[in-house]
Amino acid sequence: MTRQLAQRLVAECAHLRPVEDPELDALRRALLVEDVLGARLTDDQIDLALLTDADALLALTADAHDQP
Amino acid sequence: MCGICGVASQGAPPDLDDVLPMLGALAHRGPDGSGWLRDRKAILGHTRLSLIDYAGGAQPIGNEDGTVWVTFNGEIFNYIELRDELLALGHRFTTRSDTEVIVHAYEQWGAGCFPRFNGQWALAIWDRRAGRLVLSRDRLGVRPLYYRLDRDRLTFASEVKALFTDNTIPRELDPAGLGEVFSLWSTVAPRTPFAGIAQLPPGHVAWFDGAGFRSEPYWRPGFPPRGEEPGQDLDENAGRLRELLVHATRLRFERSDFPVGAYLSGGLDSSVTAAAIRHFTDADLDTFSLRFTDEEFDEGPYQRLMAERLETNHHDVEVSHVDIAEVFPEVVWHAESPLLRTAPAPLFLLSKLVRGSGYKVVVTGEGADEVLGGYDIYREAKVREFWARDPSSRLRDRATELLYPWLVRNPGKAPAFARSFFAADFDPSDPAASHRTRWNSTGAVVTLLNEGMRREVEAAHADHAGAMPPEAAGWDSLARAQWLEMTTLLPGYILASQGDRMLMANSVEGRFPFLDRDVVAFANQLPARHKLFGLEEKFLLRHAFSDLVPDAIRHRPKQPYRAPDAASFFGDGAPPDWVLDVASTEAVLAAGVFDAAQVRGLVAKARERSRRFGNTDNMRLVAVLSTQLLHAQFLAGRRAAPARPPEPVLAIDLTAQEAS
Repeated sequence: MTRQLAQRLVAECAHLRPVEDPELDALRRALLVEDVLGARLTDDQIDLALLTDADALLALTADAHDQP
Repeated sequence: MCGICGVASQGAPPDLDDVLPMLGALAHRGPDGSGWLRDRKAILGHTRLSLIDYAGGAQPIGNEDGTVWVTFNGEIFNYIELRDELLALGHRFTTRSDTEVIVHAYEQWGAGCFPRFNGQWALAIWDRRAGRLVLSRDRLGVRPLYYRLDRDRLTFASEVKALFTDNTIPRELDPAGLGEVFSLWSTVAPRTPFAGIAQLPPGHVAWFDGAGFRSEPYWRPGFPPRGEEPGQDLDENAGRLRELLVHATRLRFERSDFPVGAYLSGGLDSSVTAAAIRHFTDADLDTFSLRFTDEEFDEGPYQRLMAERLETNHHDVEVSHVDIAEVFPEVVWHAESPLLRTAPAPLFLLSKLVRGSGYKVVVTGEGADEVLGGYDIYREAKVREFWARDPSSRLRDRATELLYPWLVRNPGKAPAFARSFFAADFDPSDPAASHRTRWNSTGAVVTLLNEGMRREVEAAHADHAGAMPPEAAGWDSLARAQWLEMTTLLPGYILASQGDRMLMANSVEGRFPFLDRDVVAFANQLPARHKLFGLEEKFLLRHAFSDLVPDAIRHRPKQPYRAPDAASFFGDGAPPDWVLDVASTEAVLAAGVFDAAQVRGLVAKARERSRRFGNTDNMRLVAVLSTQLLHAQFLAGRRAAPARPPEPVLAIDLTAQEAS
């Protein structure tokens, strides 16, 4: 998983349909991050602030890949 | 669009009396005329729906020296470019038709000609020098091609009813075929619902000559390994998709000597094709839509929005439960398969409207969901995968609310629904994980079979996932789901029972820009996220046409095309007489497929509460009625087909020429 892909993903998320419920919004972005970047997130990491920032995503997914 | 038929024999010469009734049976596919060619070892037949070169395009057509002949159903949309290439190679043409391009292309490239075709076709070539019949079908199964192979004789036709004009052919339902329909929604070629009748698989070429019969693919659906897709930029991919789709739509709209209309469902796909026609051609556009009196199924407001936006000449037909019930026997006659939904019936009425409005051909949006990631089944699979990565997660239980908004309004129901949704049938390592739930729920129809048929169906069962190519293990899971749709539902139901058959029933040709050779090739190479972006279906398509399709349509949730099922037959008072006839104990026992007591129970239940039937009971009822109709019309009743080939008749007798 590369920085470029994480950046592309965050940029492409600008075209997502709006969702009012922030927990559901975070959930669908988490699904997207896992699907595209091949990571596995904990419930704590399913958080809008983390999932909408490319650098945070890179750090998150590095951690997630390291998890048992 | 037309009908083709014929016989090739390595034994006794074929008889014209075998082919003329087939032409009569295919008159609806080609009411503008017919033709036949007789040689010592083969007869080719053709019924014509003339769309290109009305004066010169009658079939069968041959090459310069009469050594290669073709009977052809479909269109080769890049025929002008191929013709130019063949002219430069020294070929001589006598017509302007796309059909003539085929014989010269075969002459030049042999079976290597088929990958060069961009179109929709089922065809038979008679190669006189080799004494060989060559059959071919387009990549995704837009056009049908059935055949029966005896020891030294092959008979072929666009529809099974033409083959059945030969009363010596045994007529039986195939338990293996029924089993496939009652799980996959369709048979998988070469299998059909009829024993002894095969169909050429999409993307295949077949040969029949002194060495026997053999077939092989010239094209298969394929995808790159996950992470190795060549183009990753969203805007670049959107621009390229737009370019290809506009070109594909223009080809299908402009390459016709007769005016072309467009279907408008109110959804994204047909809005894109209609918009491409209005914005990138100079012609006026007539659009055609289905309305339903049952508001649950109606998409009228979206259709009107798009028709007004594009300033089309708009036509629509309103369909009621009674209308569906009335035409359903005719629908099954044309579909030639058991059905699990009544959805083909309104489409039959829509093509009738098209023909009645003076149009012979329409552009439609079929194929977009398969090729560009539109179906709910793809989204459901992604949600299941997501949940399965951490089943203990409190948050992931809510993922079902992303699929089903009604759960948002009933939060108390969400956890139990989530557990039943996620836990059932899902194994992430299963290559058919996306489809297992659908196949298993459809399999509820099998419980209605009588004991003997059920044993035969279960004995014949084979897991379609086993046919997936080995390299699929490296594809994205979306690509595996797309492969399953492209090899089952698309050719066997969407393009067949809902597509070609319902259009051709009223002598109308459908043209499908989303199934263009170059659109499909491009779409298959896309990163999965540009098709299904999380749970946003057809992501790239929405982005590519954001300026031409209003947000109200671009952003509306996917509404699968459906029609009222059981309610059509039982929801408005007494059911039609034909329903009671085919569902009678006598008829059920005569057909030998279903358990009569179970059918009686299902019908009683329908009489009481058809409007409240769930998905399973709706499928079961439609399956029973359609299968019983199939038996009545094709096996028991032997419904008489028209006897005379459509006129004018082009007759080419090579045996008479040789004799003289």
